[in-house]
Amino acid sequence: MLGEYDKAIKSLTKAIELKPDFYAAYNDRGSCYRMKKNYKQALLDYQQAGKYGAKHAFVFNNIGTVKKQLKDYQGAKNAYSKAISLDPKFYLAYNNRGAMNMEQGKINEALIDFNKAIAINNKYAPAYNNRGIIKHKNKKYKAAIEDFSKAISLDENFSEAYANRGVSKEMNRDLEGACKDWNKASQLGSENGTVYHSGNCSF
Amino acid sequence: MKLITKILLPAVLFLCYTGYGQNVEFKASNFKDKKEDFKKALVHYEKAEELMEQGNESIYSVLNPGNLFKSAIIELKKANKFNPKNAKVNFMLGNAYLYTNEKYKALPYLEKAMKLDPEVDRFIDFYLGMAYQLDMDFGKAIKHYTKFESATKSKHVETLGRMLKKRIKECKSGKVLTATPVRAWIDNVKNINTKSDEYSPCISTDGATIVFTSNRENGHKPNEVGEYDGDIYKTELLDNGKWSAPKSMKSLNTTLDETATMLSYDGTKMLIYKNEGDNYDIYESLLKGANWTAPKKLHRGLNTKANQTYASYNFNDRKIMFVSSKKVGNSSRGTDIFFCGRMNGRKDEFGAAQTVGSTVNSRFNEGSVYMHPDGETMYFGSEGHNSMGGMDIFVSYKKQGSWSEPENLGYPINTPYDDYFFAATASGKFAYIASNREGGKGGLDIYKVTFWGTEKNQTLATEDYLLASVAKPIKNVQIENKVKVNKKSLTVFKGKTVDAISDKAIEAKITITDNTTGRQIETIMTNSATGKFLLSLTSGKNYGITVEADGYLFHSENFDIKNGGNFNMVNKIIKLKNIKKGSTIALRNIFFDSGKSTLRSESNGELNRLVDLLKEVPSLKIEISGHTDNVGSESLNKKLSQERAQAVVDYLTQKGISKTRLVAKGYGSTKPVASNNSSSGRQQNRRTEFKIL
Repeated sequence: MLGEYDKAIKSLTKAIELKPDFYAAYNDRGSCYRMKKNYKQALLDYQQAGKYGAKHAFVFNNIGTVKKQLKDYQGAKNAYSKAISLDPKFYLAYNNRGAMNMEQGKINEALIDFNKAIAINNKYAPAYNNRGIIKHKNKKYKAAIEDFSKAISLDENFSEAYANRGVSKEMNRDLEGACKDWNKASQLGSENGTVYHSGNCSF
Repeated sequence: MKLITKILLPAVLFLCYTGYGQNVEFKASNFKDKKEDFKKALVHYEKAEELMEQGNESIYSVLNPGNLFKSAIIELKKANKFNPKNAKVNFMLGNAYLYTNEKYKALPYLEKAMKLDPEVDRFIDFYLGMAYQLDMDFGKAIKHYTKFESATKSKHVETLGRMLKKRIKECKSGKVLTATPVRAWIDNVKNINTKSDEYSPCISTDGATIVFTSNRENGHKPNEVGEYDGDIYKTELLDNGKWSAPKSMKSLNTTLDETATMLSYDGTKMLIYKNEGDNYDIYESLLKGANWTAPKKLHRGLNTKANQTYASYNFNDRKIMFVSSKKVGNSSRGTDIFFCGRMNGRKDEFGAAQTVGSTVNSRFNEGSVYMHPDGETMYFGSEGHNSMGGMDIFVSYKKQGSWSEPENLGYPINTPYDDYFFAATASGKFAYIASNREGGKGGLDIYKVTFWGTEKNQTLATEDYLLASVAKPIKNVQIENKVKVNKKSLTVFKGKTVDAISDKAIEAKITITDNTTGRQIETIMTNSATGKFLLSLTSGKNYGITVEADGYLFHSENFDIKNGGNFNMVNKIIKLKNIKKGSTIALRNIFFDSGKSTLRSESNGELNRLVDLLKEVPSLKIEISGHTDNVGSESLNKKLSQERAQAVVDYLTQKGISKTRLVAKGYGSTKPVASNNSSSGRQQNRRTEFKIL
């Protein structure tokens, strides 16, 4: 797989040589570096993409994500905010900024972001999943289960939503339901699902 | 008018306040218009004073001083009804409740006594400390204990000094333990508890049966405080997850106090303690068919002249752990935990009792002991160590032959009330305890503990459009810190032995052997009425399990339980075959070197049992057959299976079995017993069998 990214980087570099302001090529090359976990190089490319494609919100969303990888949380949040200012309907950026707020322990701000993402697109599963985590943290386990269930109904292969719902079901004293969810999460490839099921469901 | 109000109102309010706080003495002059009622109330008051004096004097000398206090409470309540503003009556009520199973009732009386007269008794601060400790208001408790300590410099304080120091330490432990509660749910098992005491829950290893003790109404004559003698009851888990209505185990119960202290892991034996003479001793009852035998007093090696009470079997039935007031050396340390080993070849006899050591046995009372079927975990009750008050439950692990430093199971499993009698299911996920904590149905109640395991993280999901030209976002998941989960490495093998043809239950002997050392670990009999059995197999061993019954061919199983595996429950019906022509038996504990016909030494146990069978039944002629899976060429498989069958025959002839009684045959992969499409199926197909000819 790494070889494929290297090939893509070569082609994209050629494209940039031919058209030095080709923002899409910078963005895609940045994504290749990101997949190779070379976040510093990815950021340089995304920043070039932002320079030449300053109107494209998704580029700033990518800048945010790679800054998060580099643990520059405030920088990431600023990038997501920039993406939102460019496209106020960009629910992905709201969701991502919400996750960043969670990382910084700003739960109320995170909730506002997830709610905004859902208000823009009420079929956006990750935002329901993330809002469920906030409800769980606030010990509102039933409400959390509802959000995780909504996320699962929108994306039936959402392994982590199953694993998360299992955690809330356990706290809501439904061990059997929790084990079913962790088993399903495990089947869908969730690492948490596998660990939780193997450690808690033999009784 | 306004001026008068201004002057009088504070005075009136002041008088009202002091009026409420004023102690009303039990004096005839205070009740001039209720002379007759006063006389009656005074009788109750004086009787209560006498009982309280006896009760307080006997706290450390009588096994159960609670009854004196309970009698005092009956009198005090009558006196209090007549004169609720008497500080002494309120004080005595609080004091008395602190020595019963309704300790939570003490605090309001003591607070009222303090309000009516702060100098009502020199022990008011001590008892208020106790009551606040129970209420988990540890700060206030320490304040009152400290005030009592500094205000009273009499001989009484010297005698109480050690206890006072301990109680302050308990409050400090309570602060720490309640600040970091353990992840467990504690539920009152409502349909088996009553307003009487329910305690000593004994759980079967599979968690389906609880045997417990209760002093509920039983048709016998109650004692002076209206309580009945302790009897043993049984309840079973129903399909709807609830417990059946408890039934008295009549063959065990008498008009004396009986306490069931441990149900063996397979549910066929029970340890009971009772007092038939001068002291408490441990008895054993056996399940024969559907009935429990009359309890038989255990051997004198275990039952000494001291009191022996709570006891536990050890996982391999070689020892019994028990609580005794037996003295260790010259020191008197209350009750401690001891163990006695069964004598080789004389299982009903025990060697001399030995203490489990001072790491576990504190300077204070240890009470109730329970060995988990994993063989290396001991749960016990103790008033010492870092108890937060009363008995707390602790756990200690056997590491390299020694018991580890006891760990308090933590709040909310433990409280400042008495919490003890821990018994767990084999998975370690559920346990049962008894506690007299506030909020129960009355007295000691049985509670179910459900352990959640370690805290679990949830995962945020974010998305990006990775590529400029792709419209579908890519999901990223933020997995937080990995969570380690503790696992119990234990296999519980349960089931029943039945006749393969009639399906009727058969009483059979099950022998467990460590295949690596060839050492026989345990022998048990399955139940004659139901054929049921239950075995707990700890990790790190390859177990050979044989099942034998008169007139039947023996059956064998193999369990290879690796270290660090999961908890596992295997439920199996073992169908035993009559020794008649055509019966085929798989020999699951015969092992060969890979791809060869060389018998490995781990096979000797099973082969020798086959030798014994052939010697016991001289008319028996058998065919030894070798079988392979379908991997590789069939001709090679057939050759290998023939050679392996011959190796077994050769072993048997070397042990004196005539060649004329033995036939070796290799079937290769032609007779599979399971699908060859899975590794477990192929493993089942690679086998050695014998058939009666």
